[in-house]
Amino acid sequence: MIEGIMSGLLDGFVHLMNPSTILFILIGVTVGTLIGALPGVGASAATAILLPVAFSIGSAGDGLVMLAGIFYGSMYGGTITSVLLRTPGETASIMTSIEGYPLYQQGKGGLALSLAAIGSFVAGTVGVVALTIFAPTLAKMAAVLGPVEMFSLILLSMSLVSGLGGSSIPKSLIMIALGLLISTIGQDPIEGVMRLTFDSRLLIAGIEFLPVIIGFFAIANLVTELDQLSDTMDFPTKIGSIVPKAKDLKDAAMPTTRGTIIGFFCGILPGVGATISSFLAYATEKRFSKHPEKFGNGAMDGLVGAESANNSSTAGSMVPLMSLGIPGSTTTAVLMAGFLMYGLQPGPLLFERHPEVAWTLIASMFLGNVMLLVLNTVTIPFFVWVVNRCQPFIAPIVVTLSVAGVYTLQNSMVDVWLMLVFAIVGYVLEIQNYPLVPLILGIVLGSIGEMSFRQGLIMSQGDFTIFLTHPISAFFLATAVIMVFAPRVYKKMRKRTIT
Amino acid sequence: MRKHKKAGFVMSLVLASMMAIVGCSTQNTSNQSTTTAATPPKEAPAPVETAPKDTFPNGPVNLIVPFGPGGSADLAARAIAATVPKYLGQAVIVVNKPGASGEVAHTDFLKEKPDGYNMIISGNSPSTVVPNVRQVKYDPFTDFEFLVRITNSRDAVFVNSQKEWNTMEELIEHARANPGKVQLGTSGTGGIDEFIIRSINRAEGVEIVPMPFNSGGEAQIAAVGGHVDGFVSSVVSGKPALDSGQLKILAVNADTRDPNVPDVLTLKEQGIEAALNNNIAIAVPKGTPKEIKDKLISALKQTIEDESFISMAKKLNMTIDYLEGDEVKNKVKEDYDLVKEVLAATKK
Repeated sequence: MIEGIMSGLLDGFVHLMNPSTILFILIGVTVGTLIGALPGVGASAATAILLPVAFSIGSAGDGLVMLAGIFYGSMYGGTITSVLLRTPGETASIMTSIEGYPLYQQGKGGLALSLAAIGSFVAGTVGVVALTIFAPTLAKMAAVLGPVEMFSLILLSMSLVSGLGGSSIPKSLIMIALGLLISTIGQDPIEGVMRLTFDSRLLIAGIEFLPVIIGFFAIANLVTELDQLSDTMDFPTKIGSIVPKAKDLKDAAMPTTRGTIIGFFCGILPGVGATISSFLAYATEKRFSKHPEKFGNGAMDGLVGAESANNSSTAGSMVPLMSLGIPGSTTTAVLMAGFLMYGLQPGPLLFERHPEVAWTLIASMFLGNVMLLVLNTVTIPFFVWVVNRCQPFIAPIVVTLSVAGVYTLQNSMVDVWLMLVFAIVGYVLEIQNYPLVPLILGIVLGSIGEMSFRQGLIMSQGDFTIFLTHPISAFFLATAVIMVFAPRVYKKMRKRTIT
Repeated sequence: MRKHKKAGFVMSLVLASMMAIVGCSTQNTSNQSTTTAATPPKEAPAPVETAPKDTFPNGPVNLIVPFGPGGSADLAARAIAATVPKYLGQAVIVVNKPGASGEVAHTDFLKEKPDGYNMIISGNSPSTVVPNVRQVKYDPFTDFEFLVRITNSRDAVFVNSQKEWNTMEELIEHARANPGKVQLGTSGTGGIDEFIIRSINRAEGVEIVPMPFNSGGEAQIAAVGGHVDGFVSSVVSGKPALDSGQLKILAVNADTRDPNVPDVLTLKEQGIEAALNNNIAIAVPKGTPKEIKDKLISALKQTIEDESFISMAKKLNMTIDYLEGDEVKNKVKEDYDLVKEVLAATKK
């Protein structure tokens, strides 16, 4: 089997060695990086827009490598604006702005950017290797986890990240509850009736996640800055060294590894994807960290873990597409349409019927990740130079980018108003020391948790024990219980042995 | 001073390029997005009211898709937009406006002027299902005027290949014996696929439970994993898993068989009267002048008959089911009424 893979991959690389294909990979990853950096336009919209363009290129290989390049490239680009402007370009870089911006303020912005790029590269590449070798086996895993298991997994995630709230547990819980409440606004996912919309056009679509985080982080941050200073805004100018030292790389090694694994598995699961994977990786890093108190004020390991996770998740989400022929996310649905347009049917038979296309695509992901690493490290000084040059105008630029980006999300002003409302809410909450991360978490995990919970109850016709009788689900729930109580029990036991 | 000037220059350069990127990447909704970004929405471009009607169109035409990118409606719209400039003489820009099963886009569309510069993909669930399950601010038949129907996307009933059923009859027999136990996934609440299941229930007096997922893909993965017994979705989406033996197909929901699976019987052929269409049609605001509508219809018709469109549709496995004007409206109305009857019959 390994031999077959090696020879297939080799063939793929041979197909790549053609100037036009390389050019299209480069176009794909560049567009991806830009899309990742700008708030609003996401990978799914960008690939859909470029689908007819890709089709007119003619060669199946060239078109598909470009579309895929946009997809995995978008996870790189988010880092730059997150670290330098505290403006997450897409939802999966939210953790990057939480940790990256403080690092930038501390003069470690260059290191944060380069380590994030390296972590992304490692995660992206390892993800593709895993996709190449284990895809058929892993696809079965995606199918094994149904709604029941998904709900328990979400609960487990919540227990993991409940520790992210900072010092006050009641405040964290309040914020999680608020997030869950916000996630219920809009159409009921099962019955289709409207909830908490007060008959307002503003609310019938529910609260999109991006306006919330742009409001909370990018805009509210500006207000805070304005609040603290009189006439000049004190944005940092030094970014420190870009080239990581051996010790930096050593410190980043484990977070990258853990992030890669978490991201890849989250990517495989339908409907989970990059954003949740970055949350989980971040929470995991906090658990493992020797300095959990640094989280929120510039923890390099948290940043690296989250960035690695969102990159390997894109490789993970290719698993169900390539090996089952089923798209688990919007972007992979667009990619699937791309395959169909060229008369190719993704799925288990793709490697038999069209091995050259399948292997070219996989080989292109290796090459594309190398391009992205270069693109995202060599250009750091340039971006920093631009940001420094624009010092007096940073605030208007951030506002303009945010408004334009959030508008394009659904082509509607509603999201812009919501963003502004959440900017005020975020500002008030921040000065009152309410942690924002649990609230965001509530919004993200709430809707998928509710959906799977109610699906589970439909499956059991209303019997709650279904979550305990399914073995995998029971395992997740048990782990969640351990996650919540183990630290306390451990602490008590240690106290006892000391005294 | 000099430094400031330089900084200002750099900033405007960056800003301009960023805006260009934002604009281009939404495919020239830039005339909307950039202006609205800079100024309040009141000043959104008011196109060409003054222009004489015979020169229509003298600017790009928007085609609003009430769903996110990647679905069958979105792909149909993009296929149209790729070819229509040849006949319309202007670009057609696809604008995705997802939210609340299409209700958001349809509600917002009420505000558009009847000048032909804004079209919307309509005729499927936002026209037939959503107004039946909850109160909405639009009337799908009087607030919009249908121009053409592009396709009637064919759904099929798939089940996990380990299930013992090979025909609809066997599935229904099982469902009759085990009420509430047979569960089929759907792509989300308020969709056509859910109402296909519910109309089967009404026609056969059984209780198959539709279970909504966030997308057709998620429903399909759950069916492959055996968490639901099967799912209802487009023929095309289930084809890969069908070919690899993970799924079985029991019936196609259409008037005629689907060319992708010519051996599979339709629901009607299996004696089940439950056909519900998934019309993908194009509409404009009510009161659009006849000359403009005729111009659009003729351009759309020529597009749909164009070879490059046909070949693209074929590649996307989209069967073209062209209808025009009132034919579309009548077809959509039939479905609306059917959904209404189904709801009335199954309401407890």
